[in-house]
Amino acid sequence: MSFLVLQGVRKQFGTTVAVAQFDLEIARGEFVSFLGPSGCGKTTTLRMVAGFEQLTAGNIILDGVDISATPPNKRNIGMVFQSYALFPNMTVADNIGFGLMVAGRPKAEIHARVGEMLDLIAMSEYTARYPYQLSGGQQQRVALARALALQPQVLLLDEPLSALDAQIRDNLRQEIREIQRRLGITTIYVTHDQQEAMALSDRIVVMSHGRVAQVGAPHEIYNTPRTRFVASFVGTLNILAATVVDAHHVRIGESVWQVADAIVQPIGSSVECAVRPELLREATPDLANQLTGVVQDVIFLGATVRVTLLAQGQRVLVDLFNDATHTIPQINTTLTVGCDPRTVLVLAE
Amino acid sequence: MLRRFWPWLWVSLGVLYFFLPIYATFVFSLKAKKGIFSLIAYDKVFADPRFGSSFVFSTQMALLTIFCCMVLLIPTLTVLHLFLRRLRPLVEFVALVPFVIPSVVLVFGYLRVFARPPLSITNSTLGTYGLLLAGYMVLSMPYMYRSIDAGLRAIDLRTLVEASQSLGAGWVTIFVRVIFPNIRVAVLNGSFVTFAIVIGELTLARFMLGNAVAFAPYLAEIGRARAYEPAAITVLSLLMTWGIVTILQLLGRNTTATIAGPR
Amino acid sequence: MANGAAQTWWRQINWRRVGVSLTVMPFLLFAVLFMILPAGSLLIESFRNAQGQWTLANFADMNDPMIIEAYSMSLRISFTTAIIGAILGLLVAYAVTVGGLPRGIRTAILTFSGVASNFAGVPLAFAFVATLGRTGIITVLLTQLGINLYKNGFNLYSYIGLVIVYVYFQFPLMVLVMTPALDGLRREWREASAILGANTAQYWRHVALPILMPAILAGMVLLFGNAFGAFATAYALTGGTLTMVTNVIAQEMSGDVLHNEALAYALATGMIVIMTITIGTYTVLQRRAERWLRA
Ligand SMILES: Nc1ncnc2c1ncn2[C@@H]1O[C@H](COP(=O)(O)OP(=O)(O)O)[C@@H](O)[C@H]1O
Ligand SMILES: [Mg+2]
Repeated sequence: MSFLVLQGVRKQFGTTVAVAQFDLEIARGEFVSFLGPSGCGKTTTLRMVAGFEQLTAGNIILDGVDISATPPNKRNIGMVFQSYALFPNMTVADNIGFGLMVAGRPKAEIHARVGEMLDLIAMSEYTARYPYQLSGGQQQRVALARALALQPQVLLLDEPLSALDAQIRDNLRQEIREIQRRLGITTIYVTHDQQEAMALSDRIVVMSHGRVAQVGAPHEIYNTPRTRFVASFVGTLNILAATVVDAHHVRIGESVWQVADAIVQPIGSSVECAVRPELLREATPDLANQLTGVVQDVIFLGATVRVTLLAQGQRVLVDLFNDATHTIPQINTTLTVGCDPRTVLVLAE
Repeated sequence: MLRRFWPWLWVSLGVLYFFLPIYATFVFSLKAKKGIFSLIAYDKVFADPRFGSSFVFSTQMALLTIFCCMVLLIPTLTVLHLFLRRLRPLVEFVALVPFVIPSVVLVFGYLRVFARPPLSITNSTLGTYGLLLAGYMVLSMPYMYRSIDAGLRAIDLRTLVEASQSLGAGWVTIFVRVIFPNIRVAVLNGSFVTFAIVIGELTLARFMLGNAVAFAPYLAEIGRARAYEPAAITVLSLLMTWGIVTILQLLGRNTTATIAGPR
Repeated sequence: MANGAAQTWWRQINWRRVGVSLTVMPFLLFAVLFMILPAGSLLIESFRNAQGQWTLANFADMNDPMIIEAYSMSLRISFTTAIIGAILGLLVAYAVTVGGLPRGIRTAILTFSGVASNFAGVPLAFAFVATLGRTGIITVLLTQLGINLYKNGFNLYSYIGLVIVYVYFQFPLMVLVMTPALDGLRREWREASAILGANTAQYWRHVALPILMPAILAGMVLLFGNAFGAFATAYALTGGTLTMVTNVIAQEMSGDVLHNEALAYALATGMIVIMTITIGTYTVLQRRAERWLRA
């Protein structure tokens, strides 16, 4: 039984369709990310769950109750905003205790709960500070505590880290995940950063133009993207023009590659094959799929070396491990790379 | 629609407060002759040569004030923005001082310092007008300061100046051909307020020049003696104000928040 | 060694900086000559008697029923019109910002406010004479409807009349001051408070009003100063018969009946002190408002 269900959710602003059709079921305690480029409708979907936007069509069901028409202040949902949205006139403690205060809880209870939350975000010594006296990362932690203080059924986060510096972003990302696990709270996390989504989520919902492009665990999204859009948005991808030879072979220029999954496209048709740079390596005779080209560029990335190859008139990126026992390819030399048939995807559309 | 009931109510109340006196003044100005609407009051206004002469005088003073304020403030503020950022708070403070000195106090301060020996500036007409001009500049200083400051803030002054210098322009050319055109709209906003202030200014003109020379004192004097002409003049001066606002709007921007005018 | 230093001390001066600093001199000179000097001379004179001796007598002379009445009247009018103007201005500003009225209404109201806050002095007085004077359009209209304002204690040329006239330029000023502050209320604050369970009233009571309070107070203080220094409107309306500080100063300085310059200087000093406190308070409150909204 799913805890939170979005059924045929749609949102139109005048004639602009922000969310065309959105179906999703989220289990209790699950951490789900909405991932997609800017403008694809992530925020709008989240705001419909929060109750800030009325649905044009569809239903949102929380724990068996249809909340589509419930006003935000009656939904028992917590939300963290990209811009923190702390109340500037209140101290950290008053911000965290706000929800309990308007709910009319006794002072002692509020005090105790605020203390708990401050411990949770490790900011006990900042009780009396005002938001303008805090750094961005601290403000966002207070915002998280404020959202959690009421023990909401669902926690929503809209790009909570995108206004922060890289270093703080990574730490806070970790902290959010730990707190979520500890409290077991059902969470929707909106982001346009695929690494963030990969690192945090139980499941990722990749969105494009107001629709769900693919739903799956991070490794599913990464390893078996269903569409070209998902494949190219998540991670780096080589897309190679090819012709179908038979159900398990394609021709790329002069090379013939084997493909593990049966190809559905008719024989002789043009298709696109996708293979990730890190799954290509220097060819050894046992590799079924091989491709030879001239090295155009070599970029040293630390653990890996990214080689740009011009093969059969196509540019191919190859990530090689920076292994001290191997020599790094030189520009203008010839290089043959290869990959396992199971790593080649023939893209639908 | 019902959700917007209160906002609409408040706006209507504000608009009513704003337009009722203007509407009433207009109707009133047409009632010079009992029982019918006529333009007699306007005829009388135009027949009095002092109306024209006082208005022309005040307009000239207004334009002169605007010009002198620009000459005084634009170079000063440019230098502050470019080289003397640390002096800016001081100058900002000085530009706020006029708010602290009511015009009644200012004018008697002037008379006390400049109208007596040893200076006795007011013994000559030119001296008096000069002093009046200085007073008008003080009254409009906060507005001119703000609008020029805002204008300079909005442009990349340093790059503009360096680019002009690298092309061989001297400072006069830079001010007249580069800086001024770029802050023109902002300065225009301040100029509009200054214009309104000087045209409507009563206190300085009344105590330095007496009743007849400038527009507002003339208007005040007429108001004591007549009933319908003042209404007509008020309508005329409002029309002019709206004309200027319209011109400004056509030039592409709203009037900036203005804090005060002639009281 | 010391000799060498003495010889070259002038080399240490950055002549370019000095030259640049000199360009600010005309402005500062103007300020000293036409702002500081006149105001300062009145301040100093207020501590001297007609014979030029130092004294506090001028301030003692202010303990006079007429003077006290003048200050009380000025303060009362400024205070009342600041409160009324602030409330009306706040409501209108609320309507055109958070109220969700069409964009065009907002532009129109802001333009009106820009004009109306400058539409003061003599023409404004005449406009109200034409509206609410003894033969004003509204007065006549109401009389025809059976309500005689002037028989019911109303008088345009009195305290109450002046309040109505002042509010005309006060409330648009408040609209201009409050509009940016209300624009500064972020949508997320409202949403955050809603998702935390607060209703609209709780949002206004606990979040929006406290955030706006410094700006509201600053606006009121500004309105207060705006009315306190006003002279022309009251002068044109009542011909200087209403006992207000500005009027009394004008009469003591230039009048035929009353003439006590030293007392006028003391009155002027009182005004400058009150205005300085007012503008100082305004600046402090304004800073505070900005600090919160900056975060
Ligand atoms: N209030 C609104 N009015 C009109 N269009 C909107 C509104 N909010 C969002 N949109 C449009 O809906 C689309 C989706 O926006 P959003 O959900 O904010 O995208 P994301 O969060 O994925 O970047 C965008 O094209 C945006 O312009
Ligand atoms: Mg978004």
